[in-house]
Amino acid sequence: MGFKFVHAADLHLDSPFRAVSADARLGELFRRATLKAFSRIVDLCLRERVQFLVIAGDLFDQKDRSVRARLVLRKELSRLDVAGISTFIVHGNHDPLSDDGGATAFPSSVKVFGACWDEALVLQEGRILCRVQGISYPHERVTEDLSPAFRRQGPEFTVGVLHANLGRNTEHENYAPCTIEGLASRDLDYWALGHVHTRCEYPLPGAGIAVYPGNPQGRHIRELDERGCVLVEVTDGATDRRFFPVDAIRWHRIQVPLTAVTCFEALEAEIEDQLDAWRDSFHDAHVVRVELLGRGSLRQELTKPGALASLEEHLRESLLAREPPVVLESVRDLSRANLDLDAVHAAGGLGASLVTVAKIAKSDRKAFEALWSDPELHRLEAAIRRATVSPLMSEGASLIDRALVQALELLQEDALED
Amino acid sequence: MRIDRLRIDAFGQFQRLERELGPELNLFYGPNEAGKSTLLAFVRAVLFGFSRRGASDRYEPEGRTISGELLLNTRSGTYWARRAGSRRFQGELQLRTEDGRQLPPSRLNDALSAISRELFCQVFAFGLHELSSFEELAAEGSVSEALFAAGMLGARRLPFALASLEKSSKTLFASRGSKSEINNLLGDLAQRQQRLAAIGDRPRMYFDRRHELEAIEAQLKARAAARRNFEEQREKLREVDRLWCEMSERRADRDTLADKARQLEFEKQVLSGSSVATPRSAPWRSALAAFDARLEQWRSLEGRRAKLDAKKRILDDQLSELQVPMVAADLAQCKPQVHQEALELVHQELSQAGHALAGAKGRLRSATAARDGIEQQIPKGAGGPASSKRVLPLRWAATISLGVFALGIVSAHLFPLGLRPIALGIAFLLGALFLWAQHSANRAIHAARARNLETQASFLRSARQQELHCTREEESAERHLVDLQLRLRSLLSSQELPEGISAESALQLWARLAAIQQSFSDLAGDQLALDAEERDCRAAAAALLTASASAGLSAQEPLGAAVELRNLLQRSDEAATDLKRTEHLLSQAREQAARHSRKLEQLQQRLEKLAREAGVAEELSSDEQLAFASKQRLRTLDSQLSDLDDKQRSNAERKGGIIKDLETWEKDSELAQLRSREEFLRARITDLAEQYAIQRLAAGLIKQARWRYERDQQPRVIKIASQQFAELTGGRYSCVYTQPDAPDTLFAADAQGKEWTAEQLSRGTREQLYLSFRLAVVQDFAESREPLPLILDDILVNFDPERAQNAVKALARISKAHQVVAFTCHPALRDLFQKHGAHVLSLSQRAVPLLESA
Repeated sequence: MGFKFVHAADLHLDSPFRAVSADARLGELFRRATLKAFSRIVDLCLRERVQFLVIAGDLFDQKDRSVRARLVLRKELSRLDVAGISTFIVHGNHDPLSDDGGATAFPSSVKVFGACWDEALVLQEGRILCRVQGISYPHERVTEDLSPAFRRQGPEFTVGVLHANLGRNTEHENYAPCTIEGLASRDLDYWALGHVHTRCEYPLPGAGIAVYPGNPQGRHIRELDERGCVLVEVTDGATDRRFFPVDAIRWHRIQVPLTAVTCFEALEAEIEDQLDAWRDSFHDAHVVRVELLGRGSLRQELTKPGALASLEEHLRESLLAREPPVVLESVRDLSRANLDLDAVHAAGGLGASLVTVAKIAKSDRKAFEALWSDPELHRLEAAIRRATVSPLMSEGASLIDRALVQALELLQEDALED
Repeated sequence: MRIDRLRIDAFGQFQRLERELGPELNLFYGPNEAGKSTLLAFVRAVLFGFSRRGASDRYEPEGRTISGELLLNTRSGTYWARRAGSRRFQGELQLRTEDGRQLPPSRLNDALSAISRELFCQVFAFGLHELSSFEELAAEGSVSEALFAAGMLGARRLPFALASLEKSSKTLFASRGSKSEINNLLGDLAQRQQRLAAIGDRPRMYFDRRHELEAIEAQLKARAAARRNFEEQREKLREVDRLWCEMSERRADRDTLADKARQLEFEKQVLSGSSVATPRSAPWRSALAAFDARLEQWRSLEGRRAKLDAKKRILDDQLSELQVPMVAADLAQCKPQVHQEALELVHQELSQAGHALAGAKGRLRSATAARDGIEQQIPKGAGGPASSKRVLPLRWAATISLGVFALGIVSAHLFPLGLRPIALGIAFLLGALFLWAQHSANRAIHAARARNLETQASFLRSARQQELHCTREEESAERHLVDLQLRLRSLLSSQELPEGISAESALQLWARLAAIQQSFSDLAGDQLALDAEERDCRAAAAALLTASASAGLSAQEPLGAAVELRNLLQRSDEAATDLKRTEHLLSQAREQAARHSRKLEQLQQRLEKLAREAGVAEELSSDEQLAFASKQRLRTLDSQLSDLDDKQRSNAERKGGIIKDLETWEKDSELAQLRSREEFLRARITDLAEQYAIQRLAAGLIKQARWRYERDQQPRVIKIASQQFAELTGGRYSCVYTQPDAPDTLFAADAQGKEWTAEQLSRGTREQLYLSFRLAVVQDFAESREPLPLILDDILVNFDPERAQNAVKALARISKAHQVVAFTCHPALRDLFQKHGAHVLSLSQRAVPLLESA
């Protein structure tokens, strides 16, 4: 007997957008985006008359402390409850059980898995239609693999709901790390995973599949393009998966080669051309980062003090006037000198010395620390640590590379004539 | 570049001073306070701007505008550089060629190879003060960087690069500053985080409050129920109290009624003795009643008998007065009515006969009178009526006819002659006609009179016959009357009445006899009745006396017995009435007492029930205890209710506060805005911190690279400095160098290879070391850029003569490529300079007019 369910994860309800200073007009749009995306997921469930909805963790961010997130969650799940659609929830690292406090009283059709493995049955006309298994995070930092607790309990279609980092994805915290082999060994039909915000699927050896639906609403520049949930249609044990975008605000990255433009007007026109492709009514707004590449004639203008900020300000205002509005996250100048480090090294002098010093700093811990021993830099590190901003040292190697490039650019003799 | 001429309009003590300089070695010689340092400051000021107002080296002249100019000979041409005081403290720079053409001010910067004022002051135009310290020269900054940059391959932009990195990094972050961008953002972020911390864990608080609200609502409900319960209990206790009061009252009433009943009982016994029983008193009452009924008769018996006697005597007198031969006994036997009827009949006939006679006489008189009348009328009617009935007397008719005739004749004379016969004819005709009419009327009247006389004769005959008839009727009536009078006499005689009286009087006599007879009859009846009453009265009196005797009374005569018996019975009746009333009252009192008892029982039952319900059942044994306990309990309840109300009020207030909080938090967007802003700031700070780190790391890399380069390969300037120092010290020291870990320290090695720090050297030798270093920089600088003039303000004063000579020698050598301008106040040094071909200029203490040159 066939049935359908929706798999969503990482709702991060009422969580703020990163690096976007939305003005008062758009503030509410941005604040509502995650809530609207979830509402669209519920609409999809109702429209497709699914059997149940699975939410694989991170329903909200504990640190957001949002009352609205809880109330909206309860309200939307009540809609499903009224329609007779069950909901299965596990908690992830952002909304672990320890912080929940049992405050959110869900409707009776909602099953929230606890810190121990549990299985719930989906019945239809008295027969077991499907089995849903899940484990919630008891606290934020779960470093052990939770997947071994899952096991097939019957011949029926079995879904495992887990918030986990499959295959040590370095872009996310390595919580509940698991492997494809580990998941395959549990003999489940469908792994409804959460945690990784980018949609992807992992066919498991033998049978079964592990799916990350991604988060339904991107919140920063690394969460680009369409975001949504997966509608799974099960027929005779086989799954047909369709992705449905539900995001209310979409993130984009626009790359403009400076070689192709000769003036700011042309640069703006190029950006507008790329933006024209996104005129739709589905989205309340778009957020965009503009990256300038190459070394065209405009570069000299852009390197003048304040020029980039001025361009950014101008673009921000003009893009905001579009319909739907486009919010400029930032303009990044990625146009670098064509540096051949080997050639610089071979030329000798201070340039060669610089390349050598940077190389040593990256490879030698002591040299690295000596380079970072700048007291001002230490003070900044301490200050941003106090302000709970992510530390810089973790990005050390890449920062040294960028510092080397900047130093060489500054010391370039021809720069004198700039 | 070299300075060919200087011209001071006003600067410090100088006014309108002009000097021409040689292209190589120049020496200004003058005593102390001649203005050597002023002149050094003037050159610096024209090239780099005046010092800040108020600074010791600004040399603001009194009353004049600070200004002056230098004639510069540069690779790009010779021009005047003029600087004059302006609004800006640096003054205004103007460049012009000797022929007066204006040049852009940037030309001066080009000529100076864009070096900074600091580098110029430290390396190219310095005094003993600048010379004696290397720290400033070696300290991180433009001079140091310039020095090293001058000697490093590919490091020409090093000072610029480091300065740029330093500047831009400071705009991003400064550990002690607050205006840099990251500092601002961190401050902003700290504020938001502080606010977020103050807000706390909102969802936990929200749901805690919700739970609290639910608990409070449950508590409110429970307390409301408890309050109702308390109120019910209070009502019950109040009811107990009320019942207790009512019972007390009823008990008092019941006791009062019992007392009253006892008293009534006593009264009843007393009254029972006073009253006579009805069966016994009944014959007395009937005897008394019978006597009372006859009492009036009893009392009137004698009077009535006397009255009857008097009446009999009167009747006897009346009978005797009538003078008829009868006594009372006779009268009783006779029947007056029979006699009366016979007399009445005769009397009526007599009366009728009288009337008939009177009628006959009357009619006779009328007939006689009628006949007399007719007889008298006949003669009168035969003569009179004929003349009276004529229409008009004849003589009057003839007269009238004559008159008419005469009138006709007169009229005929009046008419014309022709008409007169006609008029006379008409008059005659009219008179004749009138006479004829009169005659006809008189004849009709005579005929009527004859008929009237005949009628009257017939009437007279009829009247005479009537008179005769009436005379006969009168005679018959008189005869009937005489017969009747005879009958009356015989009747009177038969009734033994006097014959002479009239029928009418006889009738009246018989009427009076009948009345007397009736009175006697009535009197006899009255006597009989009186006798009967007397008998009855005596019987009643006898019965009364018997009753009186039986009642134990002593009265012997009826009236007294009646009074005594009546009094006795009245007293008995009164006692009986009182008894009845007392019995009624007693019964009422007993009924009331019974009602009270029943009610008390009911109240007791109700009280017990309520007391059990109100929790004071234990105290039921005693009323006082119950009342006390009930009041005690009431007070407790009131206090509990008051407590409950206080708690309810406080709970309601708390509930209101919570609801307000919840509503606020549900709608509150502050937290979301704070979080959004926090994320934005974090991202922004991360970006900027990365930029800052890159800049700091870039600067660090450059410094490390420089040190590495210096360590691997001593820079050229150090080499030149070593040569210069060896030359100045006459070969005493062979080498000068710096170390990467002590970049602000110059080291010197003597001919034996011993290392000396600058501090370890004597002052003169240390100044020679520093001078060597500066001369090396100047030479090195000149190799890649336009040479700049070297201006030295009395720097050789601490040199011994040999080393001073070596120094002047070195300067003279250098001056081949770099113009050298030296100042001194020492004649020996002047001589030494002169010896080495210096162009010596004197500086007098006063201002010198134009072109006072050697």
